[in-house]
Amino acid sequence: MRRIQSNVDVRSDTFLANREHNRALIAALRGRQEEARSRRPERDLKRLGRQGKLFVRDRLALLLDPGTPFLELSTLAANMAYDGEVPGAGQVTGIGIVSGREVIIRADDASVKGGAWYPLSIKKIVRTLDIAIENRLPVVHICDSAGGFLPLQADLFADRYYAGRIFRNQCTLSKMGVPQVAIVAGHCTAGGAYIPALSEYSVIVRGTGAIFLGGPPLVKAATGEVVTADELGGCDLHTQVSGTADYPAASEQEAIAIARDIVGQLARPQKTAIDREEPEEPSYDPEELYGIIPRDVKIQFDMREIIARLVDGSRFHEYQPAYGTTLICGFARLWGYKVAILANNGVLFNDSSLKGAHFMELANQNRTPLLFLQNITGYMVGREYEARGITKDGAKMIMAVTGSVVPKFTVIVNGSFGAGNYGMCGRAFDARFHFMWPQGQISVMGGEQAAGVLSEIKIKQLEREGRKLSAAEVAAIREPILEEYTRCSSAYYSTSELWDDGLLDPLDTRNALGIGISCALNSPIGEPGYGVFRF
Amino acid sequence: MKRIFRIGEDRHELLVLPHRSGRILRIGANEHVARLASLGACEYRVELDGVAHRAWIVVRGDTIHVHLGGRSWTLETIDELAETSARGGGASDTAEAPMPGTVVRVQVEAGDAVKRGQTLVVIESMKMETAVVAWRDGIVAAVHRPLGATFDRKAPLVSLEPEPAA
Repeated sequence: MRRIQSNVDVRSDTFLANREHNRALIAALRGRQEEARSRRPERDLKRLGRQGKLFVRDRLALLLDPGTPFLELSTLAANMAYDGEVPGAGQVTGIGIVSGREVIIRADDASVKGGAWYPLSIKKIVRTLDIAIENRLPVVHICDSAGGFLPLQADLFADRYYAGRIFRNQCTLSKMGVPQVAIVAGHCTAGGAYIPALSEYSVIVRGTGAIFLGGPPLVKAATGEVVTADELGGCDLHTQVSGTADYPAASEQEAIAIARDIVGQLARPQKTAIDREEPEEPSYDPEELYGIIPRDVKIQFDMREIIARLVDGSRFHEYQPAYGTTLICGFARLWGYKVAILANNGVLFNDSSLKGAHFMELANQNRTPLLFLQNITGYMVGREYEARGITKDGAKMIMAVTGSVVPKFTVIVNGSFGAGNYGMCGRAFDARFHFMWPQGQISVMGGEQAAGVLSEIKIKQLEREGRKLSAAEVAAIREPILEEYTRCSSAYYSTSELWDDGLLDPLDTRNALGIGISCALNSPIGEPGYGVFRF
Repeated sequence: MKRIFRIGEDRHELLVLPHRSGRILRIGANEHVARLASLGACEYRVELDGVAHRAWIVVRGDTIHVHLGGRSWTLETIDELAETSARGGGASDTAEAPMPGTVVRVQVEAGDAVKRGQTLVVIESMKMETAVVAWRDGIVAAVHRPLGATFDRKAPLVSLEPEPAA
């Protein structure tokens, strides 16, 4: 495979200005992640101390094999919801190594509202278990939750992907033979009680751990019975009498050690064999990504420059290099794994769409995981392109992406607008992992365009009522739309709503994808099959 | 496997073939049996046709530095594909519009000397600003569309003077 020849001038003013801009964005991202991970009100941390409980991050440090990577997912979930008071949606999730096994971890964060589940907490838990199902990853739960956040119960209880889905996913995992281990390090109340009950292995800490459908206040209100939490659903009751939990532990430290021992005796998975070679670092410095990513989302750049800084040896076998050039397709290696890359290099035209669909079929046939690098403003509009069937060619891409059976990975490198998001394996199309870079933007159309369209409609409507608007009045209609659009198309909003699995520093992308591919190979790859392509 | 190296001005082609212990290196009509064993860090034991040498080898990207028998060599690895495509030539002298749009910046004029990768004009289309960059070193022959002009797909944007025949 040939090395990509970079055309980037690392001494140009543009490069230096971009680098400064993007480094500042990454510093801001790191700052916000750090806050979400560890900044808590003093009184909440003190309360944990009084209860004799460890902070969730300390629990994780004890659980994970020292010195191994931990790919944390959706660290900034809920960062723009609930007045910013529920960092990480009160959940810590990620992929790590426990006793030499690749597992996915889901931990309640009791320093946030007593570990109560908000609607976005549920979304994060369900997504975590979806990842476990798709990639056959054993799950370790660290349970310490007050239960569903009651004031918002209508947004978290009854619908298809609300709390019930957590337990449905747990049962699905069990049926697939993917084991779950629950460490009960605090209360598991109401629905939360089913998490240890539906895990194959559960460990409960004496004194602080408890499992019950209704806590002491609810029991008193319902029947008048007065009991302590420990009498009602503590360690000894559940490990000696009810059989709801399996292993008693005298402390959290012991409970975590037991959990590590349980994981250590799980069968090691047979990884699906795909083409793999000895990994090689990219030959261009990934640091240079900061100078390549433009300051303005509108500025086009050559995606080969990004590929050159992600893949092994910066080597890329470009497929159809002269056809449909606004979509770059080709094979490369990432941590030694062969991958098939589709990367936007401009608007999707008829030829680039056909090339994309064709290339996806090729990758499926030769069993190569797909990596989508999105920077897409959409499919080309206009009479000429409609006449050539741009809509049906875009539909072919969507059909191919949906029918793909090889693992898919998506990174929103920059813009993700319109149906281009779909054709390039947006969130709805089941990428095993879906990441976004912090300067990225995502919306159905550009903010300026939307503000233009919407204010135009409003102005026409008022004109029909015989009113003529001044420039200031037009601006008063336009500005709030633009502002709302800007807010909701930011990467921070996307990750707040779990439209992705987390924001990534571009420099971490190679490692995150390496971990993702490794996980994906726990599942077998099926036979390719598609719906009806409109030709 | 065919490998191509450049040492100084000289180009060397060799075939690396499997051997029951080590490799066979075929250079022209000659064959040599070679074995390589790491002695830690960048030190190696190199055995060529049964004679052992000690060598120090450092690889930096496509460059390989070898110190052996009191002499040093620098080898440049040459990618066969890159080498053949560089000889291919035949590229157009004119940049055409990839899609309909508007010229929003013109950064060169006829007669300017430009370097590969340098921005010539910037166009806007479908909300995106795209820089049209020089695809090789050369002299600008013509800028076909002025600032603010709209154009259709495949319209010529900038031409470079034809390359002198090699």
